[in-house]
Amino acid sequence: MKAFRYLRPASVEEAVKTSTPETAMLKAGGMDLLDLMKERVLTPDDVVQVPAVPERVRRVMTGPDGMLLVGALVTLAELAEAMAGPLPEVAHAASLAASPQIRHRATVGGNLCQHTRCGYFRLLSMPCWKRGDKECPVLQEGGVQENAGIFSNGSCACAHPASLPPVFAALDSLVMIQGAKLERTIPIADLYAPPKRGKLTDTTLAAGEVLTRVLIPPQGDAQLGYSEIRQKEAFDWPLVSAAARVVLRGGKIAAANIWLGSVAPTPHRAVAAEKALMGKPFDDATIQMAAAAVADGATPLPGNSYKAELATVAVKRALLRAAGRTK
Amino acid sequence: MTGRRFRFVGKEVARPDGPDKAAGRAEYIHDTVRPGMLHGMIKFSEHAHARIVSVDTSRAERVPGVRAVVTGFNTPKLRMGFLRDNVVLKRDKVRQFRDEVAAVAATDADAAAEAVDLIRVEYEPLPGVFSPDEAMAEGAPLVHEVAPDGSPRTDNALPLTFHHDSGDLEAGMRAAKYVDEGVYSTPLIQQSCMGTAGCIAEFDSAGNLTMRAKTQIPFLAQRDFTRALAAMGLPGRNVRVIVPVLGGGFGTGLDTHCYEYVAILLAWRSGRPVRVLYDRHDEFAHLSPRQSSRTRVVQGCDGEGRLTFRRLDVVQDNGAYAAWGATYPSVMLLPATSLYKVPNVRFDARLVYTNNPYCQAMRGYGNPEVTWPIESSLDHLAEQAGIDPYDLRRINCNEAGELTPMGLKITTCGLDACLEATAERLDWGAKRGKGKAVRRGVGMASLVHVGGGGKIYRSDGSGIILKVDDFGTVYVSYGGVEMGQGLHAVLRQGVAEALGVRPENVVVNRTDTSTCPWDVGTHASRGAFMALNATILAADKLRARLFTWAERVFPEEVRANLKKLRRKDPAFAPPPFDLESACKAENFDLADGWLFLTSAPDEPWLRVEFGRLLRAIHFRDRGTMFVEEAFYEPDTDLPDWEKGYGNMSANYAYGTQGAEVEVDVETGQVRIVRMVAAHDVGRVLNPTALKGQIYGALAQGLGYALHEEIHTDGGRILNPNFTDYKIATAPDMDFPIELVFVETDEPSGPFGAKGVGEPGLVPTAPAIANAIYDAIGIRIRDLPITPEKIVEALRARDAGEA
Amino acid sequence: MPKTLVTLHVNGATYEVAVKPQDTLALALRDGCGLTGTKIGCDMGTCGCCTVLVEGRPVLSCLTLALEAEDWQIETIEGLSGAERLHPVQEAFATCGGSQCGYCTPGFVMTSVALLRDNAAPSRDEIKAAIAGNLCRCTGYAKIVDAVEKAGSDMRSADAGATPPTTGEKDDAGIQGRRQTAAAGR
Repeated sequence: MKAFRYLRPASVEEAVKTSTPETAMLKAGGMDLLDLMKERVLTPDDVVQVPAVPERVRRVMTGPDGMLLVGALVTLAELAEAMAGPLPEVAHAASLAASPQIRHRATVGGNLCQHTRCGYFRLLSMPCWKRGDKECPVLQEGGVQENAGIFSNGSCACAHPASLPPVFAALDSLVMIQGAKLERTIPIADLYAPPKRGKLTDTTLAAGEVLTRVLIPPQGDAQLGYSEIRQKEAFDWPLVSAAARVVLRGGKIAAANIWLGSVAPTPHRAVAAEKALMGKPFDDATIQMAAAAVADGATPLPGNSYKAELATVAVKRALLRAAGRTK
Repeated sequence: MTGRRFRFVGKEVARPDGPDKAAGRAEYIHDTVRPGMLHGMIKFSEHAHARIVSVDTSRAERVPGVRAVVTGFNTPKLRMGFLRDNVVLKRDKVRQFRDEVAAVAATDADAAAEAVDLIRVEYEPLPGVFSPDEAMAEGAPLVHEVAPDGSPRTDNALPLTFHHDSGDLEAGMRAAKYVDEGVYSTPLIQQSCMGTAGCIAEFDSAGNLTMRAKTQIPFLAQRDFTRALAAMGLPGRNVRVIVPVLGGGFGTGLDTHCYEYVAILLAWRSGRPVRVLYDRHDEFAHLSPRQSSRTRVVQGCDGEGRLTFRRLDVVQDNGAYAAWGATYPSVMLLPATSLYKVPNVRFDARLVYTNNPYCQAMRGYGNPEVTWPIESSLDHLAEQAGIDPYDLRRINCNEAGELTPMGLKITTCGLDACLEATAERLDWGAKRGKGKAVRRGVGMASLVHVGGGGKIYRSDGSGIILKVDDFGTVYVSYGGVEMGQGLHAVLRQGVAEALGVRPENVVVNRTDTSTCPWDVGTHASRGAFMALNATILAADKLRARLFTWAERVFPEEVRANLKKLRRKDPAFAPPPFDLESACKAENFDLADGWLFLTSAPDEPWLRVEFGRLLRAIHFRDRGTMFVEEAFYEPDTDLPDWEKGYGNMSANYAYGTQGAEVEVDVETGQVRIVRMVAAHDVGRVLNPTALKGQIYGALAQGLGYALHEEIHTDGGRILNPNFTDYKIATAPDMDFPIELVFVETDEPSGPFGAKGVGEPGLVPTAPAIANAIYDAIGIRIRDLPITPEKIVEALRARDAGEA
Repeated sequence: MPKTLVTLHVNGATYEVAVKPQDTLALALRDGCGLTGTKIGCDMGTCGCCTVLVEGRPVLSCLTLALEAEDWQIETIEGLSGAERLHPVQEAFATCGGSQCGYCTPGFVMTSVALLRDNAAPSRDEIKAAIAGNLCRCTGYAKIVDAVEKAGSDMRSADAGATPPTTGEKDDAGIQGRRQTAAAGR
């Protein structure tokens, strides 16, 4: 790692201040950040530890309106434990991530702000468009494409790897962001922005902004399912992940949210699949039809066309889980 | 199994290294700190192929804490490698990304890293070749323009020939009613030792070198380093190689490495001990992986299923230089010629230089590369012939007494028993060909490997020294290497068995060339086989000498016993026994640490504890102590590689593995339902160590089959980490593995045992692939069998059917 | 960057170690405290060799800054065993063949100790899930799972055979109980 100053502000406000310079970076659990610093992809002058105060940033609480309030410093292990009752599919997603040791330190905020897992991005000796080079080698002949995205992969083929964003997005969650002047609350989908040449992160967070909480609205009788497909049984990134939320009214689907991870530079919403579900009974035929629409608009590369099929399967399995027909 | 009875062989004897390893007390190279030690770090090439224009180290030299900076221009030229085609610090050009251009030694690792970053190398990039096809194309750029001897080179082929031609191939082809042909490939993979590579080089004031090296070949390393010292102008100096606790070997320690010579140069230049330690990135990018290969197999059988011929053409991407691993074809010849009875065989291997990372040995050494095509193809041959693949294998089963086309003398052979056990445990009859509806299938594959050493060097010998102290503790000095396989555990029980002491009274010393006798290295599954054969020789000598001494000393000690007894019980009257005439050397035995007469009644006073006996022999007028040595050289031949002929091992280990799999046709994921591993081990020496060897090898075989592959792009390794290089985790091994050990009581083996270190990973991939074929009718010919390949193949098949 | 002194509480002892901000806890433990039982296998959070317990939970010391660990209660492999006796988990790894080359063993032992404190009788699946973040290249994991199972059962029977502890952690009682039983048996 390049030498840096390690700063431990005592409050979120102070963290905002100390992390405002472009050369500063926020650190929570540090699982993603330290990894990339060791690879010298990230070289901050100042590493600012996100303070564990106030208590709400490190707890899961229930708001007066039934809203679940998840602090950004809640670890994935704690999230899995806290959600086992209220939202077991969130717990399921959290407990599939990385390894037990990492889940004890990795935070919800860190997971939402995770950098791409693209091997080229993480290998400084290779060029990378996202890191500022002219071209994305993944898109060139001979590039390894198995981990690349299948949507919006025009100039950068990286795929957003985190498993929680699709789940939170499917639940219509909001995130709270503390800035220098004000605290703002935005839909989680707005946390993500398409890649820009030379921009290392995938979020819309401005310098000095600190993600503090995730707000999950009350889910009523909504049905949620999460599924991911990996090469290894454990300790592996998903090839594709999918979260599906379905609300039934009078035996027909009245609302449907379908989000995918690891298929595009940002969490990807499968709009066509959602449409295919609306107004239909929640049965196998509907699920099949919705899944078939997932790959709509996909632009797979020669080396990852199979991912389009996996996306279909992942959504189908997420829907089956949501329907309680677990697979 | 024969009726031989053993005191410790075959029993659970705990590993002597277990407690310290579990306590975190074992000392690996990473843990050793020498006084004044510096941290060495290497500047690697930034190109796959380029001419070096200049190397500027001036800024590096000014970094505080830097004590030495070496390049090819300020140090003597040190040649290394199996063909001596590699120069430690490059001067003319770089031929791969892992080429060493310069190195730094500094007082701390951060300073060394900073200095390495400040070294500027100017290159003139050259076009590279990144596959054997590219390298062998007309007019391809040459990786080496001149051979080590200075003669010009005209192509990228390695100057090594491995060829075999036995019987009459044409006649064999004519006799075949059914023929199968296919091209199969294996990927570049990494040995993935959990403990990364490293060494500490240290000179004394007289210029003698001590190397602490993570090696499997301490004595060949000593030879290599001695040559390096001579080239450095230090002829006649001593080299001592000390082997620390190894964090895994798997073949990575079969060669000396550039980083070791770099440490030597830095230590000599700085006058301080220098440690070079690889991190995980280095281990992937700057150590040598296992070769990728491509093999065309053609084999045929007659109407009754008898194999009539086999032809193999192997192309191996060797990377930029030749390590010992370049001789993989020496072992490929075993399955090519001697896996199942096949009368007419042709084998050719082409080894090619490319600008990819240069490769080295890994467990199995060429064997999995060709067992993969042979065993996959065999299922297709069976299908054509309408014979159950299990039956086809049994029809052609090897047997004891055979002289194979390669000239291998099959002394004992458990293959038939292994096949039978595998079929039975898999419930083959009920399951084979019957699981298509649920995408379940079973498959099997066999192997043959060297089980009694593998002669690929002028000597395949091993020496041992047994030294006994005054308390009956036996110290064993053996030049082979414990790298986790359990060598010290079996040495402990082998010495106890052969000598007649308790295992807990046997101490195995750290491997050190200054105290241990010569050994060619721990490879070819030879460790336990060699060590225990040498042990038996040395123990017999020691016992013979001890028993001669006992003729005089034993009666004295027995009389002392009696005296003591009478002091306690004056009425004690021993039964009549003529001690003096019984005390002949041939009547003595030592067991469990007690000396006794085999002809004497079983009385406590007629036994003498080993330590007491030793003291009585030592502390007397003209007494003595016991140190015995032995050197065991198996009765084998160094094969003629151009003919591919010679009995390279004292025995051969056969085995069969079976797999039951279930394929998820939506995702292409393969779930292993169960595996069976049936191996002819000659004799089980230590059940826990043996199981560990098979389970561990099988996990590596599973990785080879399903997960592992190094991706490269223009010679650059793209996945130098465990994130993208996928080795199995515990949940990946979530299926039952049934082990079957067939004991054939091998005459050349110590206590009947064969070597078993490598076989466990050899047939795993074809067994799994054959099961996948049985489940879904899809044949993947390129390892690893990823979900993607399965889905693509299913899609292609559906498209074809539609 | 100048070094600063950090106070680390490891295995009940206090160490003052001079570290740079970029030094990891793994490095500080090994080089600063001389506790080389904690191994660095990848230094990237991908192998689990460097696992230590922080407030009883297994974490990766290679992805933890030494400065961050100030005031934490840290346990390493060295803290489990006394001079004369191994912790039951260590004992089981040593005798079951759970350790071959041994480089990954301290990490596995720490993860397993944490598991058995939470769950005294884990199933084989629970054991596999708990050790999913620890890589081993030698054993194929079978003997490791055996070792954790055996350690759990040894600790349970030691617990059952010993006087119920009035104070202290469950695990300490386990070791204590085992010591007593062993002593009585000789």
